[in-house]
Amino acid sequence: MIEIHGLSIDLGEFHLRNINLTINDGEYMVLLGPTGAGKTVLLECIVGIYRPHAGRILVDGTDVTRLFPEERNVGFVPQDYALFPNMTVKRNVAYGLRARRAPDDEIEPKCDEMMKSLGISHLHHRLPLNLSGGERQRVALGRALITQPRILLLDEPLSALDENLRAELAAELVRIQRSLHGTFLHVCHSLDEAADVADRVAIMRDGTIVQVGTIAEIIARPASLFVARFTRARNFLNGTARPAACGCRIDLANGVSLAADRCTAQGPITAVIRPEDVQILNGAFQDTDGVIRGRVMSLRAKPMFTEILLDAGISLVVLDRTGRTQEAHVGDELLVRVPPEVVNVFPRSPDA
Amino acid sequence: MTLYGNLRNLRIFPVLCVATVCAVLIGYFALIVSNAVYLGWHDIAYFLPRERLWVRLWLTVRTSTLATALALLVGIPVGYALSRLRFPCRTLMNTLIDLPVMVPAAAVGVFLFGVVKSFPVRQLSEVLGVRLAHNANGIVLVQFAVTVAFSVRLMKASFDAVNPRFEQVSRSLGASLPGTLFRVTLPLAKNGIIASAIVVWARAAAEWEGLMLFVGGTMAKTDVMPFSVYLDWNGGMMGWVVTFSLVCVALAVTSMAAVRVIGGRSYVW
Amino acid sequence: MSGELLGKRTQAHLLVSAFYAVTVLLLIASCWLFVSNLDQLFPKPAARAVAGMSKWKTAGPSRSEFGGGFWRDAAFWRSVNLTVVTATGTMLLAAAIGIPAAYALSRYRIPGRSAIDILFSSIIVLPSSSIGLCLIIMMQQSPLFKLQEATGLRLVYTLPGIIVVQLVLSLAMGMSAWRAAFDRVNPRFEQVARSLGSSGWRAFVTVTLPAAKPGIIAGLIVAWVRAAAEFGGILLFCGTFAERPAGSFSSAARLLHVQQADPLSVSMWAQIEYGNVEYGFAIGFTLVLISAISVYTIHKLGGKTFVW
Repeated sequence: MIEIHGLSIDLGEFHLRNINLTINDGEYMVLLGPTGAGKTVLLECIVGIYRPHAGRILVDGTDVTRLFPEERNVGFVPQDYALFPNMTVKRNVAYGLRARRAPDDEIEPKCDEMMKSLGISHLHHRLPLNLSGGERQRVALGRALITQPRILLLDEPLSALDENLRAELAAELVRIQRSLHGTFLHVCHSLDEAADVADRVAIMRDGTIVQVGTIAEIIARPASLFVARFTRARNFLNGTARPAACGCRIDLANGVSLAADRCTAQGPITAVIRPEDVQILNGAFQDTDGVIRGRVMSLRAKPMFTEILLDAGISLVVLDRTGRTQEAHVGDELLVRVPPEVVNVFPRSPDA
Repeated sequence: MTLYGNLRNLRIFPVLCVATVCAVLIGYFALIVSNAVYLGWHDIAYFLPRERLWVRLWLTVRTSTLATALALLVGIPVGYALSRLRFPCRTLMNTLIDLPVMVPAAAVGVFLFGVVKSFPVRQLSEVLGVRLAHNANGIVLVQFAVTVAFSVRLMKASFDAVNPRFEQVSRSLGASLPGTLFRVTLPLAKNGIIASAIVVWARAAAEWEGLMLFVGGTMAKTDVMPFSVYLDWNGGMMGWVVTFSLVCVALAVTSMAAVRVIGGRSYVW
Repeated sequence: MSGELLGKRTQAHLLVSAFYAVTVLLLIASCWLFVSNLDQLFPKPAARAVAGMSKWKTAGPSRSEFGGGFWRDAAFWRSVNLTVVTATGTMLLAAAIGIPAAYALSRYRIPGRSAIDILFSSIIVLPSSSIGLCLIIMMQQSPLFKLQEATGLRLVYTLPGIIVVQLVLSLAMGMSAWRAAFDRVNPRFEQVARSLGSSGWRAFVTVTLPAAKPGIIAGLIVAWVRAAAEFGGILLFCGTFAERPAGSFSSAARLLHVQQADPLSVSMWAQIEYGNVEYGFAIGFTLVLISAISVYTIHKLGGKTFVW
């Protein structure tokens, strides 16, 4: 288990402020955030490249903040993999064992086993220069995992790959993590990549962690407008909130009113609604409570869904995964309903 | 369009640039081959086998090699420290390292002249039994003094060229700092270090101004090749002068070509 | 296992301490090289006593004053003039030739890059005596000789010859800095400027030069300092000027107050040879000061000086 308490560091261009994070054994945690958020710096602090100005890092209860990287047993796979160019694949993989003075008769079988489980046995004597991106990643993984580190840190391992390869290798990473019961901390800036691999996600912005939770939690209940924007919520509606019988009543522009099931703020607020959460109704529900009547302003068919811009006094982006709007045209009338449980309310602020 | 406009359309600028570069190249090339052209094969064949030349050449080679070895002994640790380690006056040190490189070699020779005769160097040399005077040791001293800062600069640049990620990964895998240095850093910096060593050698072999101010301008046991060019010039022996100069040119060109072949950067161009 | 770890930590500390020790030693040795010679600036008591006994006040360097009384010697100031004038002239000439040439090397594909690189680095590594001699041969034996005869402009053994000698190395080292400066400017900027209608020259002046300004200035400083530090080549190509008769100098030279003086580096050597140790060291320290100021300026501008 890795615990980070109050970690802070200032490196001029990048900084970290009061980072608190716990990563459980056998968990695949993803550190998600935009470029410049400090994700790589946090990894580098855990590896031991930088010494933080404040805070502690505990690995399985031991305080490692003052230890050298070679004393921490933390695996590191940097962004460009950093395979030693002057050594063959086999010597790269064996490096950690040799550095820790493992007996020679142990090194050979362990190497072979690791390389077989990763499917790179055929690359024994190749030099890193001639390997493909996927092969290099496997070699880097093998090299880091062979010493059984207490946590494996991966810096944007899939960012340089194209989409199809990415999904394949993401599944591969999860498979390796499960089979080894390892603890992984994976840094990336793409929500899709995180969704492919993560057990839990920590969202970072500007050197601080803004929310930790499963992907489902973060999407359903974002902790701030920034997280909502980062997880691609599209409807940000300004209005005023007042407490009501079951939660909140939100008054928006042009007389449109919504109900939310929790009142996390009052007065001037911004309501966030995910496009895919808006329910599309057929004509039978015309007079039901909470139904919004709107006119289709634009319709765009995308690979997995149809994206509709609706004018209902307020502007709503709606995602239709059901196919119900296949026959619709621009200018048609559409009935939608916003369930109270999908509305997230935040105090209105000038920056999200 | 006016005449001026027409002239502008002639694209004078690229032509001017190419013309200057050609002029420079021709000028430098003429400089390099002038010695050989002046002497001609016959004279070269006459002077080349003479022992006078080989004695001086051997002196130059062995003093330069020793001085280079010493400069590397200092340059590699200090270069590594400046490149990778964090210590208090690092930026100041970076600036100071450049200073000896820009000071004229003659001034360095003068200062060495003063330093060698006084405390503590004189006492140290007596204790160690090393005479630093008008002999090979003096040559090595001057060559070392002139090239050591330059060597540090080159070694730092060679280490800077190695991505620190390799060392970080090596340490995360359990290798200690010295282990990483020998197993990862030095092998990766190998080409740069060897190329830099050759450049330092070439600089040491070309050193004579500091030497002249250190030992004075007379023919003695300290006639390295470039110094002999000056001394024989004073003596009016043109044939020898040009031959020695030719050898100097050959040494310079060979070492720079070797740097190129090894694939390192020469850092002087 | 923990014993192993302790060993590694100690190893690391030992290595790092060793490296620091060498660094500190180097720093101390370098400082000592300069500081220990400060006492050479001061006259020995014996010399002061002898000077006191003399009835005549001799002009020029004396051995009984700090630094040989260099500030009172008119020849010293003429030397300074000469150094500054020649170095500046060389720098301007090098810039006029070298900046376009460096631009061509950086931007245009010139065949034989390896050979060109070897040529330039060989020139920089050549000893100055060799350079001086090669220049003499070029001036006396080649078509350049006839050119000199025709125009009546003699370069060997004259004051303008100093500029010629200084130019060889100044140009090479300046071009090294300028070419690096141009390499660092992304050619995209010029391409965009051209696509917007600029000519090559205009793009160069309005886009490339400003972007490369720090490097250009660093190159100018390097060219100037290298010219000021030139010594051996001047000895061979031009000889010394201090002992020549006043009439052998042109009126232009007299106007600039550079007659009968050697450049500072040559003057330093001459004074040491004559035995005016204090004076010689004073000039030596002046040269060190000039180098220090230039290194500081280059670093302030953020440039690099990995050439000598």
